[in-house]
Amino acid sequence: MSQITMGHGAGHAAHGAAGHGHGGSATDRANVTMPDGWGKGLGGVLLLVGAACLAGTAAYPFLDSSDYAAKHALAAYLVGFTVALGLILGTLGIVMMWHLVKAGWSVTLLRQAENVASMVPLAIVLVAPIVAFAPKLYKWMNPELVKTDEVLAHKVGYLNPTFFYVRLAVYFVLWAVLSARLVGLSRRQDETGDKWLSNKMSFTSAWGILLFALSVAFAGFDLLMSLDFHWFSTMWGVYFFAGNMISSLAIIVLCMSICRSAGRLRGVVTEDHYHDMGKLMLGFTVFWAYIGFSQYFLIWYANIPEETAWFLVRYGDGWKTLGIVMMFGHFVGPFLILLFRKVKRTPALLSLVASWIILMHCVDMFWVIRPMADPAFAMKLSWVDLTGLIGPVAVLMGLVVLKMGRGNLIPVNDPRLPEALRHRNYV
Amino acid sequence: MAAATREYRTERGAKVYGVLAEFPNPGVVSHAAERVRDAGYSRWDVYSPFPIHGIDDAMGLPATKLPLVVAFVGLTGACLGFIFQYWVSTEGYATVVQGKPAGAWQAFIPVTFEIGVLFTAFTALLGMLAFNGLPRWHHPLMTRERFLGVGDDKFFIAIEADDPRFDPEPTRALLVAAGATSVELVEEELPPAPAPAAH
Repeated sequence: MSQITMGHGAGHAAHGAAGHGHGGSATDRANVTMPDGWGKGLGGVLLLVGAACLAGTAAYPFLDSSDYAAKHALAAYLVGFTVALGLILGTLGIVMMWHLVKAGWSVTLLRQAENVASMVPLAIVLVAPIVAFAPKLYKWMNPELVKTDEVLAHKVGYLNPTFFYVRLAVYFVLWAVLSARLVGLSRRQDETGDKWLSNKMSFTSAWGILLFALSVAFAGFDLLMSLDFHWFSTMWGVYFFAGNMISSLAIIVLCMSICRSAGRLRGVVTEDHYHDMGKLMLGFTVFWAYIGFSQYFLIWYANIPEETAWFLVRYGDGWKTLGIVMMFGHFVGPFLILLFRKVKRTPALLSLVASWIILMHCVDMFWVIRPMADPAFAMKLSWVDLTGLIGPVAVLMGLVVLKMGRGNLIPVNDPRLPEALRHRNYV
Repeated sequence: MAAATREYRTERGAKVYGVLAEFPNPGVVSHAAERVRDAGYSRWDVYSPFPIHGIDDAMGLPATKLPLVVAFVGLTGACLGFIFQYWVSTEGYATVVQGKPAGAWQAFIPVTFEIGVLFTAFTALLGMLAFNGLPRWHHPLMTRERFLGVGDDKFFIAIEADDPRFDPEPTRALLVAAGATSVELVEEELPPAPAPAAH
C-alpha cells in the first residue's frame, strides 16, 4: 500500500483515517477518549494492590524481629519509590524534549507521557517516608559519624541533613512547577485551541530542561549515591537519567497499548509510532549500557580502593549474578531483539519488550539500593522487597490509568497533530 | 509469455536497453509504478530527482537485505576484535598491564565496540554501493538528452529489455496508459566498430 505525498491520493484512503486530518474519523471524540467509566476497575485494583503493598511495607519492621528490619523495609521502599520517580521524571524529560525540538510525529503520544509526568504530586507524597526516616537509611546523617569519619568530615558541607532536605524541596518544587505548567498548558490548548500555547510549552521546556537535567543528576547523587557516602562517581547522574529514560519510553509504549487495547486511538497511534518508540528504546538501551559500562570501566581500571568499594560490594553474594543478569537482560537481549524492524513495528511484541525493560530497570534500582540495607551487604531477600517495589509503582500506575479514563488521549488541538496523524516511516 | 532470452536490436544493430518513459510529477510516476508492478515486470526502475515517499511499496520492492549483512559483519567484526585482543594479551604477547589479569575482558570492550562500529559502518556503505551496482561510470540512459532532466524536475520509469515480460509495443502502451508524457527506446552503445582509417 502506498501513500503518496503529491498527486492522486484518492485511491489510497485505505491507510486508516490517518493522513486525512480534515474531519476524518481518526480524531473523532469516540476514538480519542476512553469509554465512559473505563479504567475504574483496573485503576482501582492497581490502587488497592499498591495500598496493600505500602501497608505491608510499613508493617514489616513490626513483623520482623531483626535489627535491620526497618532499614530493610525503607530500602525496599526506596527501590519502588525510585522506579516510580524515574518513570515520572523520565516522561517529564521526554515531554520537554519533544516540545524543545517541536516534534511532530510524537504529538499523538504526548498526552500519554504527560499523564505519567503529571504525577509529581504523588512523588511528593511518596517521598515523605524517605524524608521522615532518612536518618535510618542514610548513615551519613548520624551526627556522631562526622566526628570519626574523616571522609564524611570533608563532605559535610554538602552532605548534611539540612542541606539535604533543602535540596530535596528544591527538586520537587521545580519538578512540580514544570509538570504542572507543561501539562496545564497542554490541557488548556485542548479547550481553547490556542496554538500559541505550543510556543509557551517550548519556551518553558527550554529553561526547564536545563534545570531538570541538573536536578535529576543531583537527585541521583542525593537519593542513591549518598547511600554509600564514601563512594562517588561523576557519571552517576547520567546513569540515573539513562535508566529513567529507557523505563519511561517503555511506560509510554505500554500506555499506548492500553489505549489501543480499549479500541481507541485507531489510526492515531499506528505501528509507525511504535516503530519510532522502538528506535528510541533501542538507542537508550545502548545509552544505558554505554554509561553503565563507562562508569564501571574507569573505576575498574584505576583500581582506587575508595572507588572500587561500591563495585566490590556488588561482586559478592548474589549481587554479581544480578549484575550479569542485567548485562544480558538489560542490554544484550533487548539490544538484539530491538534491532529487528518487525519487533519495533508489532505493538504486542514491543509492549512485551517494554515490560521486560521496566522489569530490568527495577532490577537495576534493586541492585543499586538494596546492598546498602544489609550490614554485611548480604542478599537476604524477603517479601518486603516485593511489596516495597510494587507499592509505589502500582499506586502510580493506578492513578495514571484513572487519568487515562478521564479526558482526551491526545492533545486534540495541537498544531502539529496533523503531522503526527500522517506520520509514516518509509524506511 | 515472451521468452526471456529474446534479444532486441535497433536497425543499426545496437542492443536495446529498454524503454524510457517520462512522467510529469511524483504522484503520476508512483501510480505508474504500481501499474508496472502489477503487470509483473521485474527488471525496471523509477528515476526521480528526490526520494519519493512510498515508492518502495508502489514498485513492490522487497525489503532490503542490507541490514542483515550489516548486522552479521558488524557482530563478526566485534567478535574478531575481542578474540584478537584476548589472544594478544594471553598468548601472543602476554604482558601484565596495570596489575590486571591476562585476558581481563573489561579492557577489551572499548576496542571491541569500536571495531564493531567500524565494520558496521564500512559494511553499510560498501554494501549499499554493491547492492546498487555502484560505482559505475556509464549508464545507457545517460545517452538520452531527455533523461538528464532527472537531475532537476523530471520523473522517469525505465523498463529493461532483459525483463522476461518486455515486448516493445505492449510495454510502451502500458507506460502511455499509465500517464507517460513521452516514451522512447533506449539502446546500449554499439560494440566498438573496427577502427576507421585515420584518413
